[in-house]
Amino acid sequence: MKNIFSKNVFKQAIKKLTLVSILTGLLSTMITTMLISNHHISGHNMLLRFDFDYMLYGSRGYTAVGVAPILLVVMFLCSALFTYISFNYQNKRSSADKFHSLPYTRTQQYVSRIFAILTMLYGVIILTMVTAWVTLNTSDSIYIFRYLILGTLGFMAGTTLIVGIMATAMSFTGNLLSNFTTATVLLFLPRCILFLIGMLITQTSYQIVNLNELNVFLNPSTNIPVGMILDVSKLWQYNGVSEILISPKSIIYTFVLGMAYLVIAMLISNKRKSELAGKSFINKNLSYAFAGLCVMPILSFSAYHFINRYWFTNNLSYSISKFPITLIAFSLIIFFVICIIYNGRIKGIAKGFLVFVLTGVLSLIFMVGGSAVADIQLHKTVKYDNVEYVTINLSWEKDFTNTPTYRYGILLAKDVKLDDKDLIKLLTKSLDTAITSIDKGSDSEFPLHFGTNFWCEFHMNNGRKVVRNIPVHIQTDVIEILNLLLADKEYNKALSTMPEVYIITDYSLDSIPKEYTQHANAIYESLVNEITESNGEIERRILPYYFHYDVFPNSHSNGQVDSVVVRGSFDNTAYISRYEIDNSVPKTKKVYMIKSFELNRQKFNEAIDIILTNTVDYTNLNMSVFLLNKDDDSYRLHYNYYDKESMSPNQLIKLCKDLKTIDIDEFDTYYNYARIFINIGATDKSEYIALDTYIPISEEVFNYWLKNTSN
Amino acid sequence: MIKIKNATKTFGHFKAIKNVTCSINKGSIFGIVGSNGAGKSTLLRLISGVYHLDKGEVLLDNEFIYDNPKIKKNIIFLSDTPFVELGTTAKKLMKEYAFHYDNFDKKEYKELIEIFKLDKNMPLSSFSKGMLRQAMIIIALSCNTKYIVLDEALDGLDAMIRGLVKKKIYNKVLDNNTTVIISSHSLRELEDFCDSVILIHKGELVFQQQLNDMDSSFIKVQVALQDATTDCLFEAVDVVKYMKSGSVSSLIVKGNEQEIIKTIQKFNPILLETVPLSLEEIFTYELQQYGYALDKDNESALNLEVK
Repeated sequence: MKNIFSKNVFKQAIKKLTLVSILTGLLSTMITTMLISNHHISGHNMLLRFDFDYMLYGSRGYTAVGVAPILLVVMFLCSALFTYISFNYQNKRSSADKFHSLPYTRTQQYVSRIFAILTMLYGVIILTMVTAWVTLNTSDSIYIFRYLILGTLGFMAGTTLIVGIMATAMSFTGNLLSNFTTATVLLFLPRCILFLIGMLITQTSYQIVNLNELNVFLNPSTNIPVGMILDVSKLWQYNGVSEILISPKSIIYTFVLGMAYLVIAMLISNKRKSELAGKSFINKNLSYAFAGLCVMPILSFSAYHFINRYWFTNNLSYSISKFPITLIAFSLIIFFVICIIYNGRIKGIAKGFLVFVLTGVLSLIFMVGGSAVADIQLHKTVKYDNVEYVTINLSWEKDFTNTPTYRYGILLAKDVKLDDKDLIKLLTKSLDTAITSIDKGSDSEFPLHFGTNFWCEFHMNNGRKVVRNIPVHIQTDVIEILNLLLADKEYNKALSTMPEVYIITDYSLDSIPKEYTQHANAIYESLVNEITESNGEIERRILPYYFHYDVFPNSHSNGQVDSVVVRGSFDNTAYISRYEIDNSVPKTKKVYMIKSFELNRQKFNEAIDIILTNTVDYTNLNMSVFLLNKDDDSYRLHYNYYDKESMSPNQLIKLCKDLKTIDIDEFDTYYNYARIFINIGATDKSEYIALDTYIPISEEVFNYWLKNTSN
Repeated sequence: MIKIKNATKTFGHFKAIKNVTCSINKGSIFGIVGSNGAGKSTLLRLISGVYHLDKGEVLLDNEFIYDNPKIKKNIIFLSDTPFVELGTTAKKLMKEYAFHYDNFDKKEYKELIEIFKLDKNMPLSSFSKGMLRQAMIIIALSCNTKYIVLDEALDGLDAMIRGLVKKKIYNKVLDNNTTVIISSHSLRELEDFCDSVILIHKGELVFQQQLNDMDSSFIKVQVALQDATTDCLFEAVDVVKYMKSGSVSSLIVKGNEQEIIKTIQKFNPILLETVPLSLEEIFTYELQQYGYALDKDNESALNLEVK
């Protein structure tokens, strides 16, 4: 240990990083506090416009990244910068002389400095996250504590990787330009090649084999920094950067990769020649190799494009289009520009051309290899009698409002072991059909992009696992699969399970003002109780929409009812479940309406008074009234003041007078109710009022307006 | 003791040091002389363990120096372009080196700072080149290591300071039995200072000389003959160089001193005396023997700077 780590070097390195670390820490904590204190959630959503994050956490909850987005800067930039500051002595002959003559081994110099860098960076991350946690608590914001912990670990893992890569780059390059460019190449190149191979696999298999289900090397989400960039760039779609950051698999993989780079950097550093200081590379050949690596992604993409076209058309002349040739020409120019930059002269560049050709051949080999892997993956059939059990992840779905939804029940059900032979047979048959369809191409009787997809994990008798996203094209097969799933008691129970309150992070109810979201607890609890008491009679209403459309048509509402949206996380996966509050849950519906009126009552009375005392300019008034029958979820009548044909000013006065007689207690006795939207624009005399509430309506009022409407 | 055996260092295709073999005695001042680009700095970096040898070995007290902190604690290397961080003062530098070297003598440092009249609180970046060198020499001396390696440390210092530095180095060698290895492209700079000197040229060790034992194969004689012509001498002895001033001729002659004197006495000279050769002259003529041509325009061999 003594020959590996030196306290003296560690202290010196810490001292060198102190100022920059304090500045980073201060800035990081200040920005984080400021964003949370100002409830700047929309701000970071705009900054980091990740659709899935927004969908999952809504406008109120904080994502793991959203809690402290500044840590992205720490992870991507400060990691590289701190490493550069600590090792830039190697870039100058005089400083290299000094530090290499000191009484320490190369290993001691390297390890101690790396420890110092990581100590400072981890310190900044932990400090920022602790500050975020304190601020979140004091500002009563919604967040998931576990995400804070996982987020911290995720940022630490990402930081370790970038420090490792930067240290590796600096161990065999000798100036600022080559340090940073090599680090960039090391960070992106391997993933870029793997990503293209992965894309070949998913593209040519029509997503039966999905990138996200491939091994840790081909799944882009496992590498936190690169995965985030790919996700933001929309080159690849995942569940958002936060999900990448908090995934235990990604954290472990990124950390292990970072450690591997750190070890590689140490080995190279020990062999690093002191005389490299100030030079890009120790020799010309290395600079050619570097230029080759730089253009390899472009050449690989060219090969990818060619192979992809050939795969879908089987036409060689069609495949050789202008695009890949342009890419090759473009990469050749870049190659020579890089060679000239790093060598400072054109002499001997012809030798570099050989390296370029070699890079091209290598890229083609990678892509052809990827294509071969894709073919093997696609044709990996599953024999049903070799399957021990299968697990099915119904994955996210789109609800009636076309919003992607990841149900809590689906999360629970995805791990339920299903060993029904009929189900396994049907799924394996569907997989075979899909593969045959792909092989037939345009001659296939089934359109390859359509069908209900089932994410299946086949667990074989020999302990192996095959994951496939199976498109089932025959509707009767879909219904049969869904019925078999419902027939499995455990699966059915899991699907119908509603989240327990303690893991809920956010609600969304249309007529409950956002500032009163905490009142939604009572409504959700009522809903859970009512469904539990119904002994399964209304459970099917909370089943995923797969079942609503295919198994129980018309079991879902017409879309005009309110719903409670419950967000949270289970098993480190975020979920969003929407439950309708309709007539199938009358007790909850009543609780909901009462709560709605309670919270809006004062504002409602103010609004009616303003209209009745005629203090408002009616051109700034917009009022809509929907009359609803107790037994009917749909709106019976629709009055809209602004629509003069619907309601005259006199009618409006009469309506407001009628509405003013309402008493909340009458929710119990009154048969009917109305939903009212009022918007009164700001004038000199009045302030802006906007409200959305339910009110009880007596039968007399209901019937009067039913008769006197022009609708 | 430092032993260098077949040391070879290559930068790409350029061989900076070629099979250099020599040894440096403990408690001595060892000079390395050579023209610019001769390989002096590279050899010093090999001795200090900064560079890794491609071939051969460098042993300090019979142990390899490279990547050996135990041995490196005994050696301080002062580069020809000392590195100091921005804003570093002499005081800060002292603290830094005291941190790395266990035997650092702060008292000695304070004394030296006062003797050299340097402001220890002034940023070193505002120092002149000479002042910076002084500050670094003070640090090197205060580290109290067994070996001090100085790369062109005396260059750029004025005569008075140079004298002072030399005195302090002498004291260090005498008091602590320290070994000092110093390089310069100025032969005269080291002539009266070192115990032994090596000359390297194009990475090769050309010549090694103990200065207390100036044993050379050349002698310098001043002679005046009765018949005023010295042509006869050219046939009798191996004259390498001939100069005439009035009736007195100065000759650099190759061979054994006794035999040369005996031969010249046969011509009944009015004046015959031997004059000691300077180190530079020895190097120059010895180099000729090794096949290195003299620069016609410059009497000093191998472009060595003569001050």
